[in-house]
This record gives sequence, structure tokens and C-alpha cells, in this order.
Amino acid sequence: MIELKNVSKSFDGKPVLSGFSACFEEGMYLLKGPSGIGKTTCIRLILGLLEPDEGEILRPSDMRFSVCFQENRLFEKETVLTNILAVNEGVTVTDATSAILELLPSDSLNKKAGELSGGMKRRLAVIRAMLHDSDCVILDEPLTGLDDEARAKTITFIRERLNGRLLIVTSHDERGLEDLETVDIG
Amino acid sequence: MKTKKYIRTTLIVLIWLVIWQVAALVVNNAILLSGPIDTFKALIALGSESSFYLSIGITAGKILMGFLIGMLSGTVLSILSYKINLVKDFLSPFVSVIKSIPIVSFIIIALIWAGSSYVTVIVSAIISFPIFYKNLLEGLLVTDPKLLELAFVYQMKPAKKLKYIYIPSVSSHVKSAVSLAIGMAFRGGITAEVVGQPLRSIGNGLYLSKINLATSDMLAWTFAAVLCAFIIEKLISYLVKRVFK
Repeated sequence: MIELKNVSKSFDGKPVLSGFSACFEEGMYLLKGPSGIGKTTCIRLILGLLEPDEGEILRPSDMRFSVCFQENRLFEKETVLTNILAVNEGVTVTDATSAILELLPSDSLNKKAGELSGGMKRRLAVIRAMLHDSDCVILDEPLTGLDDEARAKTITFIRERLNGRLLIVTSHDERGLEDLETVDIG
Repeated sequence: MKTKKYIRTTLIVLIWLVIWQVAALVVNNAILLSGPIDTFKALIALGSESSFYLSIGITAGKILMGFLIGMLSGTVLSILSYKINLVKDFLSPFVSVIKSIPIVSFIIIALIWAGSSYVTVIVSAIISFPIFYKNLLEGLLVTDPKLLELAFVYQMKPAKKLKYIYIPSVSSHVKSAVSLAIGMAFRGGITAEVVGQPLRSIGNGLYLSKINLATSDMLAWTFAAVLCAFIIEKLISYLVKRVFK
């Protein structure tokens, strides 16, 4: 469980989050709010990449996260397969390959991440997050740049690979995510 | 395309050799300007003596050793400076001073402290150190913070962080440092030998050529030094490329 209590965060004196509270227990959550309202800041606070100016964030100290950042953050000069294996110690080549083939064409396996299209890179970032052994999966705008077919496949992939873990997603477009519990920011 | 480039380069070199020879013929004084033919003859004559190769080997070995000491110390201290700001601030004036002090001052200090046998190693190390330190630190400081965040969240092991994040970040900086440092180390190392005159060295060969007014010998030694530096630079660059591919 992750709990944010009256969390505030400012950048250069400009408040991004003020007095935000939310509780993420087991299940799937959709973090909602207009662009620039502080969804990504909220995610960075949960991940421990930022400290709140005020308020507190309660989460187990040994909680392991996997994340798909808003930017893909891939190792551009490495292959698709290496991108998965580099951050996933326990994942075998066979498991990684079959996961990749669920969302990406077979000829992409040995391609360098930098050679992929924007949508393919996004899917690779999602695969990497879903394969990681973690307690909580955080996906920041995971469906950006995907066409309807790729979007539907990716949502199915996320659901199938979640295995009961806590999921926090941000998305502008709620299609296919209607059953997720929504948390409004702002 | 590659063959065309080779032909073009060879032709340019040939034209320069012709210009050099014509200039030597016009000057008509072997002490003032020795032509490429005389230089080549001097090179053949020097090449027939085993001491020539011994001198080149000893000089190259000492410069290489100094280069490696500079590379190692530059690498270790740049990593420490990256990790600990105090170390970076502490070393900053030292590195700036090393870079601006005339190399001859170091040569004289090294001669007083360690004698002529070690002057080449010391000077090559002093020249190489700031080049590696500055380049590596620059590479480390521009490491993508977003990838470092990714590594933090995914709890990447240090070896993997090194392989996938740090090495790609410093790779181009290391390559340019190697290329720059080896050339500078050769220049500085041989200058140190000319001043310190250790026996069996390229610098000593150059010095003897000077006092004997044997310009063709001096140019032959210079050619040997340039060739040696070129081969070592290519060899080290190849090794670095293999590591930082």
C-alpha cells in the first residue's frame, strides 16, 4: 500500500502539487488530471525520485518498483532483447523473447532500440516494466503514440502480466482502462 | 571509394616529398635543410644498428608506461571527483596548474628529483594525467540523469550500470583523450629526453644529431619517433574501441 498525505511540491517557487492525498491499495489505479497538473511529479514522488516539500508518503521500505517513464529511457545503442535483460536479472532469454513477440514484430528482436519507431519504443518500455520483478508497476502515459490495435494489444499485455501487483497508470485517453479505480489530481 | 582515398593521400604525400626535396636542392646546404633522400639514407644507416631499435624500444616503453600511469590516475581521480564534490574542488586548481605550467619546468623538476632515467616516464604521466582526468570527468558529468533514475528504480547492479550507462557516456571522451594524450606524451617525453639525455633513447639520438650538425640523422630520428607514436596510438585506439564498442 502507498499513501500520500497532504503532499505538496513546488519547482522554482511554482506549486505543482498542493496538499494532495491519495491511497493506493492492491489493485489497478488510473491517475487522472489535465496536462501539467502534476501526475508525473506524483509518480516521481512515489518512486522516491523526489522528496515532498510538505506532507508525507508512506510505503513499505522494501517495496520494489518497475516503471515506464513518460520518456522511454531505453539504451538506444543496445538491442531490444538487451534492453529487457539489462534491467531484469531473473528473466531468461526465452521469457523475454516471447514477451517481446507479443507486442513487437519478430524482426525487431535483434534491432537496436534506437532503430525502432516511436510506438515500438513505447511498447518496449512497457514490456521492460511488466517483466521486472516488482511489487508495484507504474506506467506514465504508456499508450502514447500507439494506434488502436497496438493500444488494445498493449492493454491486454499489461493486464496479463500484472499478476496481482499494484498498478498505477496515467493516461490522457481512458479507452480500455474504464474499470481502473480513478484518482483525480487537481 | 577507399582505394581512391588511398591514391589521393599517397599522391598528396608524394607532392609534399617533392616540394621538400626541391627546397633542399634550392637551399643546397645539408645542415640547414636535409632532403627526403638524405633523410631516408640516414634512416637506413641508423636502422642497420641494433642500438637504434633499442633506443626506440626504451623510449616507447617509458612513454607508454607514463601514459598508462597518467591514464590510470586520471581515471581513478575523475571517478572520485564525480562521486565526491570535495575531491573535484580540491583537484581543480591542481589540474589547472599542471595544464598551464610549461613542460620544461616539469622536466627540470623531474630531473632534479628522479634523474634522467625516470624523466621520460614522469613527464609522460604528468602530460597524460590532466587530459584523462578532464575528459573522463566531463563524460561522467554528462551521463544521462534519466538513465541513472531508471537504474535507481530498477536497482541495476553496478556492473550493468557501468556497461549500459557510464561506458557509453564516457566512450567518446576516452577515445579523444587517448588520441590526444599519446601524441602529447610522445612530444613531452622526447623533449624530456633531449634535455635529460638518458642513454639509449630517441631524445639522446636527437641531441647527438644536433651537436654533430647531422640534420638528416635528426630528421631520421624524428621520423622514427612519429612512426612509433602513430603505431602505438593506433594500437591503443584499437584496444579502447574493443572495450568501448
